[in-house]
Amino acid sequence: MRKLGCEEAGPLLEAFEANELDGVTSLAVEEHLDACPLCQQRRRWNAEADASLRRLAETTPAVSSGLRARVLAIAQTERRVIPARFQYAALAMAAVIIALLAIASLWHFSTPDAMAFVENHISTLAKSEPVELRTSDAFEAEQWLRARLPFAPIVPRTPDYRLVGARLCEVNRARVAFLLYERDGNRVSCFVSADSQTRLRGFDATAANRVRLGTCDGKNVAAWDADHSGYLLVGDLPRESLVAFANHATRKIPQQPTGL
Amino acid sequence: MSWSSSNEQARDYVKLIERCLDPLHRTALRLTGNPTDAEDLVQETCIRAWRAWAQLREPAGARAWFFQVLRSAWLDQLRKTARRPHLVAMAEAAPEAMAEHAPLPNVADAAERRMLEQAFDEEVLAAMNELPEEERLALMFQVFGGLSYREISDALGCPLGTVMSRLHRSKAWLRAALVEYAIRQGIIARTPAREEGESHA
Repeated sequence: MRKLGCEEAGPLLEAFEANELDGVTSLAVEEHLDACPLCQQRRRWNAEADASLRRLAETTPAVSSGLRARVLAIAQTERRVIPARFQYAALAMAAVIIALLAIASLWHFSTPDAMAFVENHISTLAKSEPVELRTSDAFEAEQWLRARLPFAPIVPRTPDYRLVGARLCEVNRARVAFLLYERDGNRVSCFVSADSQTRLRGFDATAANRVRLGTCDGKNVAAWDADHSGYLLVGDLPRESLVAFANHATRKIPQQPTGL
Repeated sequence: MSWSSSNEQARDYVKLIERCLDPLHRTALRLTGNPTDAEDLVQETCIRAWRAWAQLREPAGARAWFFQVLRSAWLDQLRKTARRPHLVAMAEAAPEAMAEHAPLPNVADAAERRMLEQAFDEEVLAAMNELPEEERLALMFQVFGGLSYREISDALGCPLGTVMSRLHRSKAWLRAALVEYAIRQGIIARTPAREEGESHA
């Protein structure tokens, strides 16, 4: 074991007294102490200081009952506070959620409600002449509409429904074509727009062929997109019939004539 | 120990604070020097500890952790009261001068011994309050908190070797203060070498 000098043993005296040294170092310090009067004196004075410190510790007044009660009650009374960094994260997350909700709400309420339009249309239909052009010829109706609209609507052809006529109307500030069909005394209204009708709000179901379905004022509503146009069908018929109309119309839509 | 539910956390907190309250209070009292400030410091420490309870990973380290929180609360308190904490380590307190003095003579009379001890206690307390804050904290955590070197190292966030150095310098400082007192009182003689240029700082 290497012998220690005062300069090495001196700084270790406190740790030696506190039993904080490993066995080998402790023995080396002890050996030095045995042979060094200087360090023995240091140790003696250290012992005086330690004795004072112990007395000071022992004479410290005990914890008051009031403080003890307050401290023990902290866990019950003190609301748990989320650490600051988590607070910021939570605030940031809340801000993002609020922003997303706001965007979603804005998008939702800025999207027109198809059923509101249908409701308006039904009341208008009851008051005024439903068509401006009376014709059962789909081609004639298309020509008439194309002369008046900024797009070229294609008039659905279905063997089970008779075209009554066409007129122009406005849906959500856009001009669209209105077509009136009839079948066994039941009238079916069809709107053709340049924009999608399926993105409107108010539908409650979607058929397998992406025909969206809804109900308004007891009338069923079907909407679908085809050939760059949106179609909205309103009638007293069951939903299945409207879907069948949509399927048939989609199949029967002819190629758009060139030059239009 | 599981930290799963808040009820369990409250129970664990109460259990651990019961064990640490007396050492915390002893330390706080010696740090602040008056009972009211000490109670405030302990209460602030406990509130902070509870608020940050989730950060305590090892219940075995709770004692060092409480003292770490105490240190932080104490340094904040010093800053608030515009008492700037003196954190710089002081110079070695010339321990080599000890060689020039005879050891403290034995005082046989019990009453005399008690008076001497009382005087020494006052000297030690005064000398302790002159220590730089980090050395004072290391010493107080050991003496009044009962912390081991490892726990002091955790509580102060410094290496074990630094704790050893700080405690060594602190003890050298206290020792020098006692020697000075003993010389002033004529208990031991001042040697010529010591008269020429010895000082604490």
